[in-house]
Amino acid sequence: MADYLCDGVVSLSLDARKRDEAIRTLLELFVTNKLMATGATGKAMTAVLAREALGSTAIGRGAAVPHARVEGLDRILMAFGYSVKGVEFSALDGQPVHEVFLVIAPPSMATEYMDVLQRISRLVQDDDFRRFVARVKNRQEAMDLIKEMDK
Amino acid sequence: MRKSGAERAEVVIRNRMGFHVRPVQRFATMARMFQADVEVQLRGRAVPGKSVINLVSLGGRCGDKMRIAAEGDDARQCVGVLAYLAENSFFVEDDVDAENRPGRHLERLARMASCFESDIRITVDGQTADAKNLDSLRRLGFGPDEVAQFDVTGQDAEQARALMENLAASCFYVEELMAARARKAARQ
Repeated sequence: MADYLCDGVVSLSLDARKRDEAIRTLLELFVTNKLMATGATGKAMTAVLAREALGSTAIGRGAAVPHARVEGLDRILMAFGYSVKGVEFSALDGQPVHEVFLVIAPPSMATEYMDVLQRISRLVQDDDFRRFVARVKNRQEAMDLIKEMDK
Repeated sequence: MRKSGAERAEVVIRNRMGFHVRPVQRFATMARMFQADVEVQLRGRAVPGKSVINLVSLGGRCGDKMRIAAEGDDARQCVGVLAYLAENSFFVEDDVDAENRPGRHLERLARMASCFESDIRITVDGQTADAKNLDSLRRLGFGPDEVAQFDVTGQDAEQARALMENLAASCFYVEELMAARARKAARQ
């Protein structure tokens, strides 16, 4: 995951309470960090929401993995957002989501993309990860934690 | 204490991308409609079948054998529904080498309704049909996004109703219509 999650694309103060707003906030981090052109977020947003329409990507234990294949990308991009209050994501367990992992990928990298989603699910199954991530003080600590526990 | 019913099935995953988030989410959604305990065995591991996160972490690939086991009063209905879902690629339509036939929503409805003992009647636009009878559904001839009402009576009516209503609310998992409905909602 360390290969896909870049320094600036972590938000530890995700304010959005609604799914679409949370996804938009994370997509904008790609633009701020020059990983995506300003004009490209609309297409990515549409693709991610179209995927949500086929079933919520909330996977339980307070985590969600909104994702989509997006034409025109040359690599997999990942963003992480932590919300203290929680985001409404239509989870099966009815619980709000605190950890949002947004993953977008070029259609040609389907295998790697599936692997990333599986690794995220293993990570959020770990009670230690969820306990530690709620306490990290800055983006660097969050990055280090994700890299360290994704082993 | 031994539970009153136990049932199992073995299916092969046909989705090119494997048992990923979308198929898992549908599987867990349907498993949760039953009282039975559900367990899924895949790639040498067994996890509870109602947990999305546990199921995703199994990392099921195309061609893998998956064992579904349920224990409880409604185990037979539960395994019937889940095995049919799995055999039909979890109704994921862009990830399988299958033709998406028109009228597939009627087949899905009839096959899933047939997993239950209850009598299930569907009413669309004032006309009623037996939901287990495909010919009767075809005569009714409704689209996947039409408003349908269900009249369910029998021992497993609660589970049957939950499943039928889920199918209708999800356009019977005809994905192009699910996406179109979401686009329409976003515009409003």
